[in-house]
Amino acid sequence: MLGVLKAIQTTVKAALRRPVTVQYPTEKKTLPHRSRGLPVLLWDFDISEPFCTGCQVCARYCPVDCMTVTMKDNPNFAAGKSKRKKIVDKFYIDYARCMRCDICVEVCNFDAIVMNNTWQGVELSRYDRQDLVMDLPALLRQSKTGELETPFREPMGVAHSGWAPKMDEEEERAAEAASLEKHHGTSPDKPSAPTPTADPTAEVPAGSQARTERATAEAPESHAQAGEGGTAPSAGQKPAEAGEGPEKEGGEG
Amino acid sequence: MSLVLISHNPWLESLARLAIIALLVPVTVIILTWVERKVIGRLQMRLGPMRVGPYGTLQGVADTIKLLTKEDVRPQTADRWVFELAPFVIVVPVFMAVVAIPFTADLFIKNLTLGLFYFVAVSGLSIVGFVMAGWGSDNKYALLGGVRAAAQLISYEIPLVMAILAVAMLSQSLNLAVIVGAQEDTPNIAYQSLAFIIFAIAGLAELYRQPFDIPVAESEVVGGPFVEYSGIRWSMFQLGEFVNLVLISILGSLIFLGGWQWPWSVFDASVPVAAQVAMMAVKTGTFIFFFMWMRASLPRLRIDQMMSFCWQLLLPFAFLQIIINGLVLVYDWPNEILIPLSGAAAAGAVYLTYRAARATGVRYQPGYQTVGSVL
Repeated sequence: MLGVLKAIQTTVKAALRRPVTVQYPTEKKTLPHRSRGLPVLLWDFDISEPFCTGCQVCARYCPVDCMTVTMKDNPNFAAGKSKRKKIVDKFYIDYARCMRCDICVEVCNFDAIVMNNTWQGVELSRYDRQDLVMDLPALLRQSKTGELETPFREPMGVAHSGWAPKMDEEEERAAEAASLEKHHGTSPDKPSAPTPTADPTAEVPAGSQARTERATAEAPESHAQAGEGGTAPSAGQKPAEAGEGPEKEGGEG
Repeated sequence: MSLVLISHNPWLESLARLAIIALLVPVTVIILTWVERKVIGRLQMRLGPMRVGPYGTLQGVADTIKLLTKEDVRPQTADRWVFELAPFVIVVPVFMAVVAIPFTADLFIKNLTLGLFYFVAVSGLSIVGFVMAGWGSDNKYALLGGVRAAAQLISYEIPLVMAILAVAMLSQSLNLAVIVGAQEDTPNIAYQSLAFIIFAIAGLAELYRQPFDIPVAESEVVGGPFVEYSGIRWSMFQLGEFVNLVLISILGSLIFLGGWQWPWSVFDASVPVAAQVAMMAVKTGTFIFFFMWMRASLPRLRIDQMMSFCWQLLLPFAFLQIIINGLVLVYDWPNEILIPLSGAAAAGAVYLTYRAARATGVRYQPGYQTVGSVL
């Protein structure tokens, strides 16, 4: 009896709330940044060529053999525009066969392939199964047109890869620090003012410079940690960086 | 010219009136299917139909076209004539009942002196259709559903008629227009609150909608009598159901809420027809919304709960209301005394239901035995 009143109250409350329905094809929820659709290739805007060199490591590691890759000599290298001697010639991914395991992304040495985190990595209905075999232009299309705004990679985060060139130095350093803290549990000391005013190493990419500065600042600390048998997983990594740091500093002086 | 011809020939005139009904009622039903899906959707935090037309307004039209063009399947072992005539036996009485309903003081098909009696008599016929459908389908679920429908509709017909009768006693008439006219100052819901509650519940059961959808329960008897029907015959059942919903709502607003009368005499002398129609629409809409709301809120009753609630609670209290009315009429007490009397009886009915519901909650605790009834 009281349950009846409770039920009536529940429906009224539900009616007063906003409906939860999303009118899907016309109106879409934003996908999470880590959404893992099907793999696509990335486009190097600096040189206007794909990052992929056609090295076939992804095809070899693919557990379901859904990839076919061939390699050719890079004409841009001959023209002196690119550092890549070889470049991808043909690239096919059978989306019907891919199981989205992310292994191709992990093994890629050139950060050339990512999992699609847009809706187009999900909406793949086709009338013919053959249409699910994607060729190179189809795989590069989203990166080229800018639809793939923030492709997502594990585990190093945003500052790790070459495809995030639009950041300025400050942003990159912050992103790097955040990534490091997230994955290694250390918070790097931020130097209040960047040391060099006239820097001969300004030519090197911003990321590596940030790494150098941090390594310099942290060097004694991390040595101490390593001496104590430090708990941080990066304990083995840091002395190497610290050793690299002073060399470059010395080069400056 | 033609209008003049129609108005001078009683046969042509009645034919024209019937044609209006035959056109208007299906359109109302089409709209109502859309409204119901929208309302229940909102009560469940959904949107309801949105795709066909703006806000899904053409959904009912699309459904109708789909239903009419579907194949009309008849099982090989079905009893042919019983199976094929059952939808008509349900739809025809429903349309016959529409004939006697006045929509405003001047807008009606036929104002019968015994309108209320005619309505009750005709709407009771649809039980035959359910039993025919259940029997003729040669399907055990259909038969079970048909038997359940017969049991439920006959049981709830009695308190429903008793509640209507209480109003008729008070108004001293079976003419629906006269009953509405008698409610000019106070609607009957004030004098007859117990009868109103009984009418609402029994009406809900007459419509076999949730929580009283035992005959057509999807998860128990897979649609009951309709299980073998498809296409246009199935849509006739649906049509009958929705027209019945409108009819019970109109009847409720006529005999309990004062029909087309405006409250507090907003219009001094003569109410314009449009205002009367609007008032009727508001009151009927309130009823329809109540039925939809209950459908969205309450789970289905068990068949024994449904039966014992009717026979042990609704029926005695309906008689109680009639006895109270009789006392007031015999001793010529003022009508106002009905307000506390009927209100107290309604409170008693609610309390008894509450106590019974609590008792069933503890029935299966060890060492605690109750009699096998709900009350």
